[in-house]
Amino acid sequence: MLLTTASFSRSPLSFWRRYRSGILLLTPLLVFLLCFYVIPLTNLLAQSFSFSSGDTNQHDGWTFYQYLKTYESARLGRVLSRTFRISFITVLVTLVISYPLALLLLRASRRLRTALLILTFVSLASSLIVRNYGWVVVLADGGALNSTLIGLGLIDQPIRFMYSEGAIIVGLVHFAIPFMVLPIYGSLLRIPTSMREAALSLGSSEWACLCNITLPLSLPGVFGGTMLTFAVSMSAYVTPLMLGSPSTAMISQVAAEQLLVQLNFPWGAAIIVTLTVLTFLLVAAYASILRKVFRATV
Amino acid sequence: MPGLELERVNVWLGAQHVLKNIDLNVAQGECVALLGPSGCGKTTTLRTIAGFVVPQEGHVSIAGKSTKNLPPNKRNVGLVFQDYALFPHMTVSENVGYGLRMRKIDGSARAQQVEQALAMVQLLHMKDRMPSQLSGGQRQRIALARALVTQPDILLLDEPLGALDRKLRDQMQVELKQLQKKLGITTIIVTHDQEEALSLADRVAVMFDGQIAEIGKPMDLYETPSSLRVMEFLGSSNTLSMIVSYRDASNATLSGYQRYAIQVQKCAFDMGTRITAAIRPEHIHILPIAELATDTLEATTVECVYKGGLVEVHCHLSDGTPIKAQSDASCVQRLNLMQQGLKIALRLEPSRIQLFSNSPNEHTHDRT
Amino acid sequence: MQQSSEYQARGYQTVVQAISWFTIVFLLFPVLLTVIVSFNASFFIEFPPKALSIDWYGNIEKIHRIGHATLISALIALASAAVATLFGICASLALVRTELPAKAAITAFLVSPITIPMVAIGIALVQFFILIGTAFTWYSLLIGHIVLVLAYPIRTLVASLTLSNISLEEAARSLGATRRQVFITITLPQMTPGLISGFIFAFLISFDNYPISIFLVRGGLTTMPIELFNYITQNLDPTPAAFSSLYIAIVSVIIFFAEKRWRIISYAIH
Repeated sequence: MLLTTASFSRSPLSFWRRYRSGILLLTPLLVFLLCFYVIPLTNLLAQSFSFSSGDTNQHDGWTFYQYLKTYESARLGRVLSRTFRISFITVLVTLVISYPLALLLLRASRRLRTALLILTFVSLASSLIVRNYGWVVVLADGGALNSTLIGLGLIDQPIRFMYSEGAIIVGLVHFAIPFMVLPIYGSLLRIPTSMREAALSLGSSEWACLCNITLPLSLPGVFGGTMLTFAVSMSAYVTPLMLGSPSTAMISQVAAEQLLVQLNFPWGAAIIVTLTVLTFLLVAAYASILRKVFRATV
Repeated sequence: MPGLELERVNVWLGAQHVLKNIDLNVAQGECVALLGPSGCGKTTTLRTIAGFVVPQEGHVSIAGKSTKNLPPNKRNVGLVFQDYALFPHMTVSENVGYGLRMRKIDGSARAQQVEQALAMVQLLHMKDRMPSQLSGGQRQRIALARALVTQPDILLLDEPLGALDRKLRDQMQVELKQLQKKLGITTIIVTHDQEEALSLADRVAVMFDGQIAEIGKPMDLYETPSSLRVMEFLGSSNTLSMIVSYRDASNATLSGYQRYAIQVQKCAFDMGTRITAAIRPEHIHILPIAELATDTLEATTVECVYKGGLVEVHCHLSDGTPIKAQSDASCVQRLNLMQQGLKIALRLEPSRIQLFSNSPNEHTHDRT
Repeated sequence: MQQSSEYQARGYQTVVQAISWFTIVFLLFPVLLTVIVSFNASFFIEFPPKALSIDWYGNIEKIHRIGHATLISALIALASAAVATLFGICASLALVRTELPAKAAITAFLVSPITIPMVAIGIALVQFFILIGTAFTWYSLLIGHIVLVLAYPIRTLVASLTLSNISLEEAARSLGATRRQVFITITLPQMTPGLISGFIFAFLISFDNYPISIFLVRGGLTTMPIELFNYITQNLDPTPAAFSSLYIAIVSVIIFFAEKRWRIISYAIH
């Protein structure tokens, strides 16, 4: 539609001519993001390299003090490993219960499939507060789960499900299911049906076909889903806030506490930066491992 | 022991009766083609043999063994798909070796059999490549090797040559036929391309609307088909509405166009019956109009289509009936057939005229 | 009628179905229970409800400034979705139809807000706005939400445009249409599914957001999730259940009709 003449000269003028329309289209957006995304985050990043008023051995200029503090803080270490643990379990559980659902969607009739997809979307679109509140209703001392267990005679007193890591995981899994099912389903759709039939005709059981053929070929979707779930879990804020307690705090909560309550912006910033970088590194490592093991394009 | 037996197989997919009383007997080592237009049920038949479709009635046995309650992965079939279905995340050898792996044949035994299979299709040097690096023809051969390496009881091919270009297709037809004969494996080919069916198969089963209309050797089916529908499906044909104007013990005379009357030898119809006569373009000889006689039809040229070795001469009779005749370039030049509106005489070879009943029920027909 | 004749492996199918239906029930469970609890006559959250009443629905207005907050949330969501979609149109046109250096990098950059913790974005923005003196205003809240939802219309529009047929545009050009006419009559209609689904996602994610809003609001400026959350942490009665039920009902209806009319779901899966 927009014709360009391919020019191999490296002069600025030919660069401009070639990319002019693209650049013009993108400029307002890029300016916006620069002002309200890049600069604020860079500011935050910069803050993490400075001192706050309550710190010892202050001086002007750059310092790694906040990061050292992050590294040395025992409490932060616990919070970090807890966050990682919760995220890891969440990803695993979500994957295990979402993959079969994606498989079901594949073979379901059109009506069932549409109904299930709408359900998934409604779940996605419902406010997180609303959804977590739903889990409060289920997991509370007088809630559905306890009432059912007492009613069945399995327990006498209500079990305290709320305000625990388990409750957080349940809430996060519930949140993450649509993020896992949809990419996996999208990936499964791309696999030609003849693949499965070829595998079966060669002697595969359905299980062998799943492991050897379907799973590796659906890896882009699995990767997308698990990565998204992991990133979302690592940075979770609302869910642990509603379903957890101070003793189950996750990293985002600690960072927010420092920034809002303690007003220690440099340290809060450092914590957030650490979280972001850590998540990014873990996701990159995960991608390269997947690529090597399954020889898939991910 | 028969290679394949289908007995009164009936399949409904949803509310549709897709296969109606399919009976098929294939000898061990024989190659049968299922030929028909799309929607005729040929692919469903193949999938029923493979086990992906379970017939509601009737049963299938492969190499003498019944397939009742036998899932696809327990049947010893080799299946080659239209899109080849090579596993993109595995190398060529891993693809070919997959069936062996499923049968728990590992190590050097597997490697050796894989190499043998690859050598058989002349692609041993490609064994460590990925399918994405292969050309269409190569992928087809790998798909074949993969299906054959497990020494299946039956080989099932779904439109095997459809995706290849002309030259490659011709070449693969020869190779495929040689391979099939060499291995002596019972083979079923599904195709909508009649040339493929006629050249590859020992017998061809023509299917329409979920039933086998006719099954026979390619030559028999082409030269003397039992129904008009089969004749029109295989190759080109011209149909003429004629009447049996005379009939005795050995001969019959057909007429219906002005003074044209032709004597034919085998006629199952009574005198006075209106019938449909059909003849193939290559059995019509074109003569100059000066040679018009009672055993030739008068026609006017419309168009000549040059096809390389042959020329299709399109013309029409005085009542407008279109006729397609076949000729060679020298005849076209000699008689100046390129000229539009030229009057010519057509001589139909009497022994090649096929006679069919006019009634819609195909079962009353002439068959020798 | 005859039963289905496709081959199914019994054991495998049973396991897949069992786990799938568990997941489906798991998804539905809290929603169903919230609706049930919303009709519970008693004050505490208890199950099963001993008596039914719709009183709690009437009590919704008791949630502090919930009407005002919901209105603000809706307006902000509408505006941020609209702006994000506009940006998305420009971005997708640039990425799919024109030449650009390092497209993969640019795309990754444009979509990156999803991968940054929301808390980070919220905090970074509030500090920035304090710096330039516009903190806690509605337009700074709007800007924050635009940054948040930008990635969604971009993704769906890029998918939509990639799937659309450029030869239609070329045909229109050859028939004499100007670039503007081609855009309005050919390109834009082809982008409609991506437009609709991108807009709806952006709207819902903005409406629902807590971590960014909480840092950018103060005083009279507030959003629905914030007021709802405050009420939940300060009260024990099931009023939030009534509100949630209403909210879910409305969202379901929107999604149901959007799918029927525009088939947004297929475009989100790409």
